[in-house]
Amino acid sequence: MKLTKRILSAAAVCLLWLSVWQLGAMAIKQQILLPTPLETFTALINLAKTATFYKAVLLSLGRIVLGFSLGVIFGCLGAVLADKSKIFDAVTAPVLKIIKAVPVASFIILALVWFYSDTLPIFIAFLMVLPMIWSTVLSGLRNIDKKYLELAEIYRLSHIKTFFNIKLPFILPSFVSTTLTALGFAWKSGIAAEVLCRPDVSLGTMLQEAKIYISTPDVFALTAVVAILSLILEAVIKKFLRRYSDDKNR
Amino acid sequence: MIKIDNISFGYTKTPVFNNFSLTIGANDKICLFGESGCGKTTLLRLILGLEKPQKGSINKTKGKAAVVFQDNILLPFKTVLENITLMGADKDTALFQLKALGIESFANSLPDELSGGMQRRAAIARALSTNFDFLVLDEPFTGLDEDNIKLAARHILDTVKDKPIILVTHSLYEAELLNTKIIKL
Repeated sequence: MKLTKRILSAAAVCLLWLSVWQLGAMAIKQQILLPTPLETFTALINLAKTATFYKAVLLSLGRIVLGFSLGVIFGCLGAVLADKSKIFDAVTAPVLKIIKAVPVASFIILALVWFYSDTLPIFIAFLMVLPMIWSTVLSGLRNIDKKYLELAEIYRLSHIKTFFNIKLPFILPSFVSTTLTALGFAWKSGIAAEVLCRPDVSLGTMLQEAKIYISTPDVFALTAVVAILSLILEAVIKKFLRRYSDDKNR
Repeated sequence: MIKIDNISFGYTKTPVFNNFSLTIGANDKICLFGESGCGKTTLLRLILGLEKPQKGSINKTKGKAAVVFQDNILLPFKTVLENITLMGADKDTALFQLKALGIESFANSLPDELSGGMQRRAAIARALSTNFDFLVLDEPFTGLDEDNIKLAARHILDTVKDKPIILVTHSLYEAELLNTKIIKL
């Protein structure tokens, strides 16, 4: 009953915004500026009929997931090392600050010189995720109550046991929320990188081409695909992380 | 045996200990007694190896400690039983200790589901469940009522028997319950 009510209310909100969109398009009366929902849906159906579209979805998804995963892995490793070694922390801290401060567009343009267009989105997604995960895990590790770690020291718990049984459960809640935010960043920056570097097959390249040919319904349809994929990916990772988090924090 | 030899230690320039020495024998039960801030807990931390003396040395022939701190320090996301077994105790011993302290039925509860006194007994059970060479107790009976203090003290003595106990307390009554020799700091 509750679920039906939630679905109905979500559908009503969707309908409201689709009506606003439809009314706006009807008022402007120029497909090039604002296509109607139906025109966008038709463009989406046409895209879905081509094999290139599915290839682009899979390749974009693959690149961004790879960059994101590398960012999470190296972010965690870096944070653990920085927590253990003050020298490593001092050496890496300015690099992380620079990565955080420099606009993503600057990195994309710079990376265009360094990377092939196929690998650039992976690098950009990695670069966006790395400092976020690193900072969160490092501050989580540093904020664990010292008393728990002293207890582990007294009872001679191994570093691995201490990490998995004490440190990890304490940092997990903030890690989960940062990972989900980082995923959004990876997705957006990865697609932006694809738009600028135009790999042979990608959603970003299709978006750029739609823009060049002034095919606004295609731009809208591809943007919708990007948004939907982002939501699906977020839901999948959320489910995975929550399940792991529940196991650890049971 | 624990031999504290001429140690000096301070958190600031003012030393808490200056050339302090103490020997704790294999069966000794001692109580460190003194005013607040005289260094009782600091001495425990030095004995446990959580602080290093700036001068002198602390030698332990057998070094595995079990400890009940002033705070219970139970991991909030693990059950009482998991909190105990994580520190190296086997499940049967942990359950035996919990039973002896009257909280066996809460073995699978999370610490937050227990009262303050129960959490205290869980912390004592954790210390007694491990395979230790000496037992360190820092205000171990805080939050326990009279009956539970007696029960816990009797159980600690039964369990520890021929191993050293180092107690810190403000209560002479608790020091007597654990048959400790009082050492004034």
